Amino acid sequence: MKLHANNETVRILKVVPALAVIVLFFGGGIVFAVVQSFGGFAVEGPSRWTWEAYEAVWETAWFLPSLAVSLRTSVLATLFSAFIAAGLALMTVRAGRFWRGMMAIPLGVPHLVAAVLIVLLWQQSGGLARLAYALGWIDAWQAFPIVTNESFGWGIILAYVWKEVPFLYLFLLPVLQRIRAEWYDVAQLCAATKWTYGRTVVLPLMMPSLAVGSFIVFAYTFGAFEVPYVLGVTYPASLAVVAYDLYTGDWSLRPQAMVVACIQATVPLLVGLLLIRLFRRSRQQGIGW
Amino acid sequence: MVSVLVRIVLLCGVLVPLGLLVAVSGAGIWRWPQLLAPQWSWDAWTYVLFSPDTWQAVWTGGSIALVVTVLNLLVCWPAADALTRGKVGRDYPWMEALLYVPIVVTGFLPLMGLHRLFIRFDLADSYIAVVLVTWPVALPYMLRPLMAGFATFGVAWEEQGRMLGAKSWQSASYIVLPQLAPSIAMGCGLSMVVAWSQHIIPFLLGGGQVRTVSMVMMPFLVGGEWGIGASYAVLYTAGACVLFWVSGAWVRKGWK
Repeated sequence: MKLHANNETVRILKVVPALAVIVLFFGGGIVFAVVQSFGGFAVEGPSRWTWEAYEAVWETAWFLPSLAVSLRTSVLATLFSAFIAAGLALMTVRAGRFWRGMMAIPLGVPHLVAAVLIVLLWQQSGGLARLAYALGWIDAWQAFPIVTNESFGWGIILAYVWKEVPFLYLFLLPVLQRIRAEWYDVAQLCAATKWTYGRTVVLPLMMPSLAVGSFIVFAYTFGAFEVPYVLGVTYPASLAVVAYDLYTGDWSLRPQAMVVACIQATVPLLVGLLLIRLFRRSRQQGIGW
Repeated sequence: MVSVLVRIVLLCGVLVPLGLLVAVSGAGIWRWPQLLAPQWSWDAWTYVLFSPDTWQAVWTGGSIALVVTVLNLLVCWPAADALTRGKVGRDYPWMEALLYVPIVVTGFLPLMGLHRLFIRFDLADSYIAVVLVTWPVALPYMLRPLMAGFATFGVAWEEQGRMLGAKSWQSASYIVLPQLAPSIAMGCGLSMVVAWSQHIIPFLLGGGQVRTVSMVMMPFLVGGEWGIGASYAVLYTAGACVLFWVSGAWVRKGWK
């Protein structure tokens, strides 16, 4: 078989190995998990199709509170990260290696370690509490606000912001660097203020990338386990921690673990479909490059 | 003025937490409300660096990352080539979309499903199981830089080579590799970091048999042994940075 640039069959065959990896070792896992959530491949007893696990999860006391924790922490972490990253990127478009190097550091830090960093810094006897005490702002460690392992999830949000702001920043920077300085001069000729220029030129150009990046952040933070495991509370725990507890607990609870995992994967999917719809509409309005 | 302030805030935001981690790893006993640790102690580091568990875990995690990265390079190279040059990428956009699914679907779903399958085929709790599940998770991070590289590369160089009688492997190693070295270096680096940083995959699928650095670290953090836990955390983070840097440098140097 010769490598001819125009041979379409050969070109499709070249994609097949990569597709096979995703379909077999990722998609296959998803399918098997969904089947198990409906009662297939039972660990003990006969397999049969049933909604039982879904009903059981829905009727538990923890389901809605856990869903709320997961949604709250991931939505807030995404919004904070997006705003901070966009602001920083806009401020430092012309800045060079210093910013990029600086922002690349947290990218290399595993999420588990990021969670540990937040604990060390923010717990009631942590680094910031000691600083506050040294400065005379608090007179005992009990006076420092509880940020880690509390039920709202501020610690989780902080850890995600620390990790995802650099990601979004480095995601946005190349897009913003394509906006040429001369465009602002042209806009000024048309009597645009800095504000109208930003709103009508920069923002629409930045928006598609920011939306895609934010969506990736949302999907990741909604599903991830490490950070809520370290920084969350036992009740209400985030969905990932619940799924883990169910999975490593009694065997009869495994279908329920699969149900929680299915819900975890479905929410970002729905958000993604919604975003694609919005995208189509804004494309028609001429937003984007 | 504002810019200087932002710079300082950011510098502190990034470096202070990491500095604190290093400080805790060497602090020994560090009582409230001491702002600075009373003395530097090598106790935790001595334990970590001389524990055979540590190096076993570094080897396990590092070799998983290496195997996953090599596998990903093998499948992503032709895929990135085909998807960016020619009509395949345009005619079948779902192919590219499918390859990026692991970025969006995180969490336990694929993991738990495969675990059951591996148990049936007697693969559970094995090194191979961990590699197979980590493989697709790291794949998009290899694919993205390679596609960016191929997209700006064009086919003229390879056509020229073919006209001069180059075989396909010659064209790959003498034309594509040197030209795309930066993209390949980036892809290998990212794939290494992503594979190395996984915690829950080796934890669930390795069943305690496949122990990586994060798994050795966790009991100390949970048990309140902050010195040793922090030392492992530094090692875990440094490992990610070293793998990124080494694989990048190696790829770039190899084909200069």
